[in-house]
Amino acid sequence: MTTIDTAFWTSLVVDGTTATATTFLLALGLFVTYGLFRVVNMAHGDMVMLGAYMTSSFQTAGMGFLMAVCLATVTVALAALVMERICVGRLREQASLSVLLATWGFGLIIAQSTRLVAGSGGRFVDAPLSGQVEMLGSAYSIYQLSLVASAAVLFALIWYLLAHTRLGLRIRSCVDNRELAELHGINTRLLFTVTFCVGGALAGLAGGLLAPLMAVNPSIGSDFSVTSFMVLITGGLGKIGSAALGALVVGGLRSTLGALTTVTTAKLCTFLIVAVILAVRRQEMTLE
Amino acid sequence: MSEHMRTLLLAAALLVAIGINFLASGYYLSIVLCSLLLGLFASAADLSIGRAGVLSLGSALYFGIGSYSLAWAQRFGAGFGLGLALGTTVAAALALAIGFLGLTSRRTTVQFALFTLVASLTCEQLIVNSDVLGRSNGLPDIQLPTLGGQRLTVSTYYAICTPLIFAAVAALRAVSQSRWGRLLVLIRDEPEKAESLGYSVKRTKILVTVVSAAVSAACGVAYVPAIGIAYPDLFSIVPNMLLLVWIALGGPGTVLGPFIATTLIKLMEFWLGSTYTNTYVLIIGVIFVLVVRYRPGGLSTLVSQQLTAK
Amino acid sequence: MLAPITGVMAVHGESMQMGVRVAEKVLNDQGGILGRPVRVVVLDTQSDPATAAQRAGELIEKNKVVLLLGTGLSSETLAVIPISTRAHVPFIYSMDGEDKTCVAGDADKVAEDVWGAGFTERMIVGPFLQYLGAHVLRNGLHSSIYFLGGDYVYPRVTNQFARATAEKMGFSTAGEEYVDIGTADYSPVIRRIMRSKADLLLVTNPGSAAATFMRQAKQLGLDRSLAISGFATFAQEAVGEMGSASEGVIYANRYTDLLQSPVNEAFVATFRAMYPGKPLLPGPTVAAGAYGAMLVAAKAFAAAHSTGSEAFGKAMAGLSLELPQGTVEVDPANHVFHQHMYLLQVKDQKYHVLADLGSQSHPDFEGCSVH
Repeated sequence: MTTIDTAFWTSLVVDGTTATATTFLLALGLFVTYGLFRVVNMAHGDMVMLGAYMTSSFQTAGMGFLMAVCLATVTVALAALVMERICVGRLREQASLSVLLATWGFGLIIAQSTRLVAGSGGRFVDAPLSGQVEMLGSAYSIYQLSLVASAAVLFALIWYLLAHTRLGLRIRSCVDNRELAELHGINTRLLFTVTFCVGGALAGLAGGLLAPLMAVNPSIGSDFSVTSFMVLITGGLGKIGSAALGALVVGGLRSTLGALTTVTTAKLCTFLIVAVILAVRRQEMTLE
Repeated sequence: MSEHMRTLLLAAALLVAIGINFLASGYYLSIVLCSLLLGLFASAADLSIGRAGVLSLGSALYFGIGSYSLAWAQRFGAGFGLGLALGTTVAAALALAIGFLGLTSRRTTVQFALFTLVASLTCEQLIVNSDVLGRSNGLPDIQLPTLGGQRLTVSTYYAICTPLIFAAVAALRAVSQSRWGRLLVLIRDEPEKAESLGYSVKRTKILVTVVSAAVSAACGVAYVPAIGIAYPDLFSIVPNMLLLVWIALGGPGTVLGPFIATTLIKLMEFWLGSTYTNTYVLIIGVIFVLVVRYRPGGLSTLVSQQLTAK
Repeated sequence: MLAPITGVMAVHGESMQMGVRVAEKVLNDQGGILGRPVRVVVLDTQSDPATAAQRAGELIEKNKVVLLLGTGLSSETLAVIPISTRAHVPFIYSMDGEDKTCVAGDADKVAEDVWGAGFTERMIVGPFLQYLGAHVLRNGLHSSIYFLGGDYVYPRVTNQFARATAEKMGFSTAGEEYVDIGTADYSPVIRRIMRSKADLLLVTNPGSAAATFMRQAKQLGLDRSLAISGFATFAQEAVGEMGSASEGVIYANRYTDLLQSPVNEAFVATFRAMYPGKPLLPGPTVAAGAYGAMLVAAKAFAAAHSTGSEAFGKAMAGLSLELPQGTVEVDPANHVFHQHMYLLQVKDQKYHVLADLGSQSHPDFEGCSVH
């Protein structure tokens, strides 16, 4: 009996950590565009989907998983570049509703084009690591554990980049006060383009890494966008630590509640908890 | 373009809409009616979202409540009137509660927007878990209302609803151009100034949300007999996002812009969907991007140069 | 044809479209129906009941169709039924699901113009469980079963019936759970299933939810601790998404392209010629869900010498036809097609036949969801 209890509580913690990690990876791309620059990128979820699809295509073409994910990341970054050049960059100055509309349109284009080219049937991606490891009575997927490591590495990298490098300083000053940044000689326009592409790349990367754990079809984008927005807004914008916190609530907490009650209850509770956090928070975030 | 011209154009559009009744048959009329109702919905939502700046990601909640109120009322043998009363009351009450809980005297926050989305999704979840409300299958076989013992035909229903819709849009427009309407703009752009002038920003925002919710619910009530079914997807993320897209496309804050944009988009979607069954959603995406690229203020800037409505 | 070409049911909508195009070609090559060429208009329902209702109206009023085929989700079907009924246009719904051929308000009366070509849970659960108990499960008919389903009407109805039937047969229930179909993380559920020490997991969670669940189940090694099967979950149309996670699964359905009969072989050859890039198809939705339904209707129209719905109805009653899925017979009392159910095993994403469970029929209007 003691063994079952240990297994249960261990699995609660480990599964919660895995869920937090995967949710964090999912929202990471949006953190860069929305969390930092307040650009409402409605196409984020579709970019993740595109990353998953491209990974599947490259893998089917014979490439190894890691190579496929890398190429997928580059592809989505290019798509983000196209998006940015055509209108997102230009519209940044204007009403956010315009950006919302433009990115929504792009999301539709990405999803529908994928559907027209590849069909609605969906693809699958095989994980590079299969098999489980037994820990304290429960089996854990080796691949999912490796995702926790990937999430931790990315978190550390981005934190370091933003807090301790020149580039990070530039980004933060651009976000805080654009005119002042320009006066200091920072090319904010170029900076934004680069960051938007990085956001796209991270979305594509997430798509590739998470693909072995889910169904890959053209319509998965909108759920990803909703989850990602929830993560950022719950945790708070601006800091990567906040994004991780948001992932903890939206991903990890939900997983734990699902283990303790039912998945449906967990979903409702997570919604309510998010609502309460939003109502109580003192720091406000406006759209403009 | 002067306000006078706008009113004349609206009247002309009404005449066209009435004329369609004599030319087209049942199915076409229901398409036009549904498009007009969604247009009015966008208009009402724009008063709150675009004009007063109360960004809401969950306005489809009120439309859905209206829909389910009518469907449920009909199932229980009650009439259209009860459905309408129920729908608008519940929606208004809910808007009051949500506004009271989440709105502040300062600029509307993104937290509030997400809060409203959560409300809409929670309602969807509750309905899916409810046998009385049809669970995921919805409440089908909803008929057109009866008048004096006789069930209305699509044609008559259309003839009654259409002038009411246009009247409502005109009224909303008039409100948005009135002194109170200009107050809404002030609240959106400079809430501190409004407060210093003695206006209660929070109370005004709550009021506009309640009005908007009631009209949205009325649209939902009228919509369901036209399509014949109330279903939980009305509360999901997609209609909520589409509403914002329609408002952005039409011109936020103009009230008229979203009405025209939504009606035209819906009609076009239907026409495109028949001819380009496989690609019309892609076409719509391309159109959105092009409109934003060349007319970021929405279609209403075709007639005026202002990017945000004053 | 009201097909969900976009939206959650898109993969079935595409299959329906392909199926009717093959039927259209085959019928026209034979000279059409009643000497006139056949034309199929396919409209997208967007997997949305309101759109389905509007498109049904369009097909009836603008295209003046003599027959409606379709639809995807149960909510779409329920939205279309009142419209086709009021217009007296026969409507054959061809996806499997709960019975929908009764009249709203009178659960013992058949809806004149509604025909169910898909199979119901009543037609599959009993024979399927019997086979599993006799040939597959380690504890035979005393095995314990965990019932998992998506959180909407169809899986609930199916699982509840399956559980009742299983318990009557001697099986014990290890658990019953419903999960929101949008769920991205199934770990809590998978752990619960493992802890219940069930012998068999029956999953009724179609579409993408199935693929997500199975991939994560494989990641956690669930398939090594019990047998996994289900209803609608492992549909041939969706196996492209599930990939290797479907390997070895035992499943029951009304059709597989590997059925050996001259009728099926001819059909598969025609399909492959028309759609060469689709190696994993034709599946049940193509063959039985669209093609078969249309061929039965064609025979009825021909026998009726008319396109009117009353004559059609009379000709349909008791009509039997040899289709790619086997022999099909239209029940005159409840309008549901009698059809063969097959025990299948998935190997390398191909569906091999293990046994023919015989022709099954639906009892009266049990479980009818038209209220």
